[in-house]
Amino acid sequence: MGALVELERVSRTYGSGASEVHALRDVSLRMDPGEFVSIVGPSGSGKSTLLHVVGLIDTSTAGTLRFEGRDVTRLPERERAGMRLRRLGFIFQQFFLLPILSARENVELPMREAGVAKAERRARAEALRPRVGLAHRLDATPSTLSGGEQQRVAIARALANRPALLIADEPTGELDSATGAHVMDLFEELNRAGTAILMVTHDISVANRAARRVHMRDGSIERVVVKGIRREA
Amino acid sequence: MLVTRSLRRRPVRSGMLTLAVAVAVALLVALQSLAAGFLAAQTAEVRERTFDAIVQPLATRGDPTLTGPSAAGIDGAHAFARELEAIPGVASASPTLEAFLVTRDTAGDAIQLLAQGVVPAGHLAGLSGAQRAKFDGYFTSAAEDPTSGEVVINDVLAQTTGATRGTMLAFAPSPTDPARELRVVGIFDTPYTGTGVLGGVSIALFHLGELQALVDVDVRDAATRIAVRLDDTTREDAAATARVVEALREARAGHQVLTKDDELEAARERAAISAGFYSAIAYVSLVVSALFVASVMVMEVQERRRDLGVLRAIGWSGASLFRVVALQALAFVALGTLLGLALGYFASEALGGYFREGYGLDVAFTAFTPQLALASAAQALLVGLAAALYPAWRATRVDALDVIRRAV
Repeated sequence: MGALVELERVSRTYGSGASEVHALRDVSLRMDPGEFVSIVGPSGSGKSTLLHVVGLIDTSTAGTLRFEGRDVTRLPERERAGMRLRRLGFIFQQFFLLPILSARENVELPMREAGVAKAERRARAEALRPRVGLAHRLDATPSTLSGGEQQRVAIARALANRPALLIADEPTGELDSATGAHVMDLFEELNRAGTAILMVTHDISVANRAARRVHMRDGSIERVVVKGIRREA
Repeated sequence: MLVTRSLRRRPVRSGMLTLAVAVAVALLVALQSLAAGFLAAQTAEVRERTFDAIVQPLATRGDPTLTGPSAAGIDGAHAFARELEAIPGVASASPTLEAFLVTRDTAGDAIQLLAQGVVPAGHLAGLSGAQRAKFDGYFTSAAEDPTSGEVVINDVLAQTTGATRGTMLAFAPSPTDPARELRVVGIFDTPYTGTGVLGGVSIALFHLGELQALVDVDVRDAATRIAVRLDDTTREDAAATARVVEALREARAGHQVLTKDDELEAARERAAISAGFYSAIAYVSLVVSALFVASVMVMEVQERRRDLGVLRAIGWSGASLFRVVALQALAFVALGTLLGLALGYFASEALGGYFREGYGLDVAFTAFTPQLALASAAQALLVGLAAALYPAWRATRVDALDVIRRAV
């Protein structure tokens, strides 16, 4: 089976000269379709940068990134946006829902950009509602929803264009532990249904929900833990 | 969806912005309607005249003060008129003398008036049907009678002097000159001349010889101009008309011939100058409103930087963000334009009413037409589109990574 995501000696450096910061150093990582991988590490370890590079929001300064076998390291922004829209789904710590739109309209945003017809958008949003555990609240605006509900809307939005990979940046960071646990239950369900997930978290209990845990320090992979098996990088 | 919701995001600001555009568009519509209305009124007036040409001196002579002939320059007017009538194709030639006289108002104070000395039959023949009805039957003699003792005055002069039909009014070249009394035989509504508005101006019509005697220029039989009518056959034949006009020009040195086309051209030139002036005011206001739209939209992009960055992160293209912001700006302009057209219509009607009321004339001084509305809307939308470009481009420059990092 081909890799979903493949990083070969990827580096990301910000600034230059004395102010140069190495956010990623020679990171190599492979992720298969349907895998659930978490990235953990202290602040400044490079885990968010790694997520942004894989999510095609940021670009590496060295190394190669392949997505579904295609080299996407130096894709022009227009094509990167197209890949983010159709092949990737994003979930952020702050949910990042558009406050002027209803929950349904937020879910429909990626589909609108992808040119999905209105009826199809409505149908997909309706189908996602029970899947992410949102009961009868699609017409509400984000400000009237609880944190857990907002994150479920964000997850529905990320799933709208049926992505190959869900990218989650601290998805439980703004939630209380009970709500966070429910969101992680949802992640596990989505993963069991075949959705690959790459998640950054600083919470080890959340990270443990993933089948594989990548520990990072100072921009490098320190070790990888596969449910009970520990491998040093 | 995103555009309509954005419009409702800050209702007061959106309302102010829409109103700013509406006021600019209303100004554009009303002022252009006014310029077009004045041109239409002048054109209609010139077309309605039955005079085909005016023969007048090349340069103004005579007394430069406001007494005496205002532009007397034709000597031997009657003889000259007969010369012109001898030209084949000319039906009639009627001399007119214009001068400023004084009379007394109800308080006994001297007031100035515009006096016209005419040959009644010739003068009436040169008026349009509607205007002829105002004067027909006032003078007891249609042929010129230099001793008729009659005067026809306009409604303004009647009001100022308190005169009615049968009242004797005294006229003189100046307050210190001996006055001559004439009997008011008719009062007419002030006509719109096409070359300017006479509303508010006191006017009196005399037999030509009597006015010449009043202003003491009867010795040389002076006139200001001679109005020429062509016969119907000549008027319908452009080549024949041109030949007659040429003959009129060659009739006597030192004179010029103004045809209806010349007057229409002059009216168009005057209208173009006013239209240019009005348009300049309207365009300045339109540009100011466009700058307002651009500033508010730049502010809007800045305020919604996070939303725009998130849209970029989830895969929206720069072109889509450009479209969203540009459409929002255009929506403001379109709403403002619609409101502005409605306001402009009412402003145009109000301006027309103001001039009708002010000058006491039943003339349409404004012309609000569908073409004018469409052209104004197109101009406003074009300016709006230009105003939308910069903020829309700014929206495409929002960096998703920067937005996400700042939020953490």
